[in-house]
Amino acid sequence: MKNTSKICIIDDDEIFVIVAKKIMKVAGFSEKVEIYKNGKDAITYFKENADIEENIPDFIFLDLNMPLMDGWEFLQELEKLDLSKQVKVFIFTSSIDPEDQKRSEEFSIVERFIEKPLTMQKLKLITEPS
Amino acid sequence: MEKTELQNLLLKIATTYINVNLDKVDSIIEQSLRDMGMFVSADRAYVFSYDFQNSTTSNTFEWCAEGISPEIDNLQLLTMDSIPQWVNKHLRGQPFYVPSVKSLPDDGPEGLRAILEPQNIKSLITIPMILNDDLLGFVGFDFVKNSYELSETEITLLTLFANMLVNVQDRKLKELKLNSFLSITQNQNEKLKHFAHILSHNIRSHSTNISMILSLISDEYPELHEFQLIRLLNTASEKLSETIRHLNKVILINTSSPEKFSPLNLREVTDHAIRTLKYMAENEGVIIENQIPENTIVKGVESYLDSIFMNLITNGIKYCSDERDSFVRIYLKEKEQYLVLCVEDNGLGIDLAKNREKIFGLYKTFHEHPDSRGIGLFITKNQIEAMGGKIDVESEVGKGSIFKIYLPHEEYK
Repeated sequence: MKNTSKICIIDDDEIFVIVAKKIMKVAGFSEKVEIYKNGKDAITYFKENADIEENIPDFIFLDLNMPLMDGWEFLQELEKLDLSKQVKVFIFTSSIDPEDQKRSEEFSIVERFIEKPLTMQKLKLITEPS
Repeated sequence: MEKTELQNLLLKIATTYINVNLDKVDSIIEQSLRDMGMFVSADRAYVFSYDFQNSTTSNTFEWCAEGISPEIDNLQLLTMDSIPQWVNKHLRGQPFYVPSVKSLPDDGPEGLRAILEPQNIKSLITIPMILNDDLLGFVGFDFVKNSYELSETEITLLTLFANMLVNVQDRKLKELKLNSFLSITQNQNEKLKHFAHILSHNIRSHSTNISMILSLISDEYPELHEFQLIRLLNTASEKLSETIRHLNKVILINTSSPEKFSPLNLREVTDHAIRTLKYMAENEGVIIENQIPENTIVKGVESYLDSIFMNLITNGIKYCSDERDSFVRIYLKEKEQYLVLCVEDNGLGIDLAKNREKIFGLYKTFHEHPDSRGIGLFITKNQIEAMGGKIDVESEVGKGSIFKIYLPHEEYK
């Protein structure tokens, strides 16, 4: 991953967000990180910025269980948008239910389904082709 | 009246009562009141229930012949004192029968004649409905247009009808009770699933946060690892993650749907497990014998069955005895509707008198062994039960153990 790539974390778990940012910093990853606390806030942003290429991140780290709008609903809404730039979604979740993993495969925009915790090794997955 | 005709009618009613659906019981009772009422040429047929706690009685079912006014709405929560003659007879298990109201003695305004005459009742019979010595109520027939003399046989057959009514209502009550138990169970199941979700997701997310924080700490401040408390914190966090992982595994087993069941070749599954464990068995000097016949088919989840045999055979190898030539023997028995898969060893054995309750419990271990974590048999039991089976064990310290897996018998050709 280039150091300049923009990352968007959508997760209501404050601790995860802080620690994830820190781990990315230690690993030399991008420090351009946008945070949204739920799918609703995030999709509002994406709707408003769909055609502004420079405002679209390269990667989305998406949680599944969130208030107001969960990760699944966010994905459905996101797929409807005509984004000016291709974005890759990585699901980061506490769920280890194989059903969730299967469901995530139905979304072509989802690159990988990764179980929390986030570790250095898992960060590397993001730069490797799936 | 022909005795056999009435018997035939009763037989017909009995048959409908046996097959009736719970939600149709009420309409079937009304229907049979009509049939019986018309048959004995009564003008009104009815069922009353007694409430001895409150000393009341209420009309619960009624049929009226043409031109006869229904009384059911006027006959709710009557005090029993208003019909003492009925109640007294019924308490003794006898029908209350008045062949002719006209010929009753005139016994004053509170008397029987004074009750019945204003209703134009010329004859009447009410028969107690009794279940296991409990008087539940009565079924009755009023004759308004003409008085009617019932024969002994007719009274006997009407009593039989009363018993049938008792049975069908009792069955309805029992089914309602059963349904309510069922819904309680389903409700509790839902609660458990909800709890399982909290466990598998919410607790896990906290636990992963802790382990993430700890790994960051040890990256940024490696010198902290010198401190015993930090090391202990790391261990505690790892154990927490491991426990949650185990519990999650069990939750997944218990919430997975039976659609994943498929016919499995038992011989192939066991052969596969034995091949995988060959090296471990040779190392410990344990001989594994597979006596499962070729082409034995069971219905189940392949990954479960594989894990079950891996677990049981591994246990047989792990807990072998140094004092004799060790074996693990796998064979098949049939018992009633079950196929019984037996995994027998001549290893250390378990003191079942002390440990029978615990043996399939979580984190229970019975021998000092570096690899004993107390998770295998717990998972095994859950996997077997998820496939509709059960597990049992026979064991003797110093002799060995036989684990018996009962799986529902399914034949696929």
